Amino acid sequence: MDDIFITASGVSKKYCKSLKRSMLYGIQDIIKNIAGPGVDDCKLRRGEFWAVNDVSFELQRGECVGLIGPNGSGKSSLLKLLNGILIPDRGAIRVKGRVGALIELGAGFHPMLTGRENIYVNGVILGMKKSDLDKKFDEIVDFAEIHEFIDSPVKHYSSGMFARLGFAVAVHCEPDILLVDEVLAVGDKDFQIKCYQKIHEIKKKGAIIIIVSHNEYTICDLTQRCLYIKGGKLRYFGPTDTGVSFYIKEMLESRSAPKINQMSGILPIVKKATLCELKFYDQAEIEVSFVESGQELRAVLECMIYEELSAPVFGINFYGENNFIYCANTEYENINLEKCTPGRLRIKIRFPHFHLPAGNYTCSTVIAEESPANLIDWHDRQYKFIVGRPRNARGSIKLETRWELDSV
Amino acid sequence: MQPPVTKQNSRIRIYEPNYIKNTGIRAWSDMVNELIEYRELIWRLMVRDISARYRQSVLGVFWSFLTPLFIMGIFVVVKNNKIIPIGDTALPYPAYVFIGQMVWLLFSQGLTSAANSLISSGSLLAKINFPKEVLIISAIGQTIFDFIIRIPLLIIIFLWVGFIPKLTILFIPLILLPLLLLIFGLGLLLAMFNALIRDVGNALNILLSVLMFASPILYPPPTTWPLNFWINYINPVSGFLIAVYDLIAVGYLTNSGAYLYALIFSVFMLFVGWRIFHLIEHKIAERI
Repeated sequence: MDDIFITASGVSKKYCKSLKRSMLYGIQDIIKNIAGPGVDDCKLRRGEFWAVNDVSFELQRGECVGLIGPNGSGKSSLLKLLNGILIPDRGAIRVKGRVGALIELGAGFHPMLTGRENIYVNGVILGMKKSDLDKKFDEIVDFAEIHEFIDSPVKHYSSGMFARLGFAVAVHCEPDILLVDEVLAVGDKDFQIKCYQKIHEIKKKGAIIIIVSHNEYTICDLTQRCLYIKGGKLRYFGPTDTGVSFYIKEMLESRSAPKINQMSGILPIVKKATLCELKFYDQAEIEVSFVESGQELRAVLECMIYEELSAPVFGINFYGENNFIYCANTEYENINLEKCTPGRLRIKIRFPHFHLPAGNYTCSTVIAEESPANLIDWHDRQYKFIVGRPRNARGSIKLETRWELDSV
Repeated sequence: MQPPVTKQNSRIRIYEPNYIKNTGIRAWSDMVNELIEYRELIWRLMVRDISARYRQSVLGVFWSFLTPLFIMGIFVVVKNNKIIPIGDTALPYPAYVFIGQMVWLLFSQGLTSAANSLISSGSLLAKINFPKEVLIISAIGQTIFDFIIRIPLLIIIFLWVGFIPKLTILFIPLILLPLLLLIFGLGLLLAMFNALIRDVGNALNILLSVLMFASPILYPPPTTWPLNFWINYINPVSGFLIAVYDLIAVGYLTNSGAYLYALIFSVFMLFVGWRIFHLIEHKIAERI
């Protein structure tokens, strides 16, 4: 079979902010389209903006790429352009291969119909033949784990069951090109793992996969390359690790004011000291947001001291996606500081073996006086980083182990 | 296992501004081929909507009998009590009204559901890429289904009034084919504009109720000038109605001029509607 590919060259798409104006432009475009051969789509009219702006890239068979960027940066629009749902206003997209889109799960499901009927409807919508569906039917039901409910109307399904069925149908279409838009977050943990396995399987068959996710760890885990878009523009296209670090760094920089958090109420109004930024570096002193499990990580915390502090405590807390992992501070480490003189202070913390398993993590930083509870300043979960491959660490902490096997 | 190489996935698709460049015969063969490729989807969507429609109702499919039956009932009472003077019809009046209603409902319900088809599948349009004509055809398919299931009731009415139709009744499907093309052509235009401006759907409802009274359904086709010109010739549905009555009661077309006009108008609307729809189709998803 000849190769499948996606090429985007200078793709742009504009949107209109107001519904009324959008209606007007729609009619204008129709009249122009009917009357003349072409519409001059390159100029912005009042109230319009570029949702996707001059994006170019090229993907080959077997590539799995992540698509990252803040909310409203044009990720979903780009997927819709690749799928041909939207037509670019400028530039061109060339696609070869059958596109399967997981933009919304269960598109075309009719609430009144049973799961069985909906599998057929949805399958045909996604471009399958009835004969293929007959063959795959059991596999789909097995995958979705809804055996007992297959003949009940889907409106009685739980949202998880609905999404599972939608995902099951979509991935069994055997697409050459799979577009996944933030749908992997559905279902329980077991089902998510199954989804990832299925995606790996599709990837192995040589399909092109494009995944949109706000879970940076998912992107790092599944993809080798990533596209980072911001404000509709392609900011980065290259290896995922670098791309994700770049994205997180930019995201943190764009946060102008520290977030107001639940702790701010108990912080003193006139602060004796304030925390500045926390930065992470790797062994080679390069700033990173990404660390490999078990490697060395260095954290550098800067703060401004305005008044002399007696017995200051500095700390850094680590959080996983849903748990508090570790609190490292000077008091617990028995580093007893007597006082701190006013000025700028830099604290370096070295983690020789950063033994957290792969995943997304956040950090808080703390300054306190006399005891860790007497806070002066606190940045609650402001800093984000990712622990990536090797993937062999699951659980909430990686334990160092030594194994011996003796036959007795 | 590799996915089978179908026509659809062995082709390079190019999406760029004004990408529909083919004109003339090529464009039309593309349009027709596209629909043939998606015939299974048309069928599925039609079956889906028909089987879902009456799922949570007791009377189910009988609902599609009730509209024409009630209209028939009301007008039989109106005529028999001479509330409105209605001239003699070629068929017994109840059968006349019922057949008229069948043809009219095919047209009006077909147009209404076609006009709403894009909006009601808005989420599908925004998520999946497929030719949007599919939705309009499957909406019209539903009303064809309604038309067909009304046939047994028509036979009962014939038995009740003791009328034996001419054998030419069997030509009715053939003679109604252009009507379906008219519904398709108009439906495409209406669906497209309704997707952009919702006023179209509301205006259509009013227009259709006016047009119903301006069609020979409740009264025989007028024969005097100028009413016969307006109702029999300008109104494209009348040509079909008169032809249907003729095939049942007379055995040949008494007013072939009106039918010819309706035929030409239908084919014209099909070409215009489909062509415009095809040019605009790709703009619909983003505006819906």
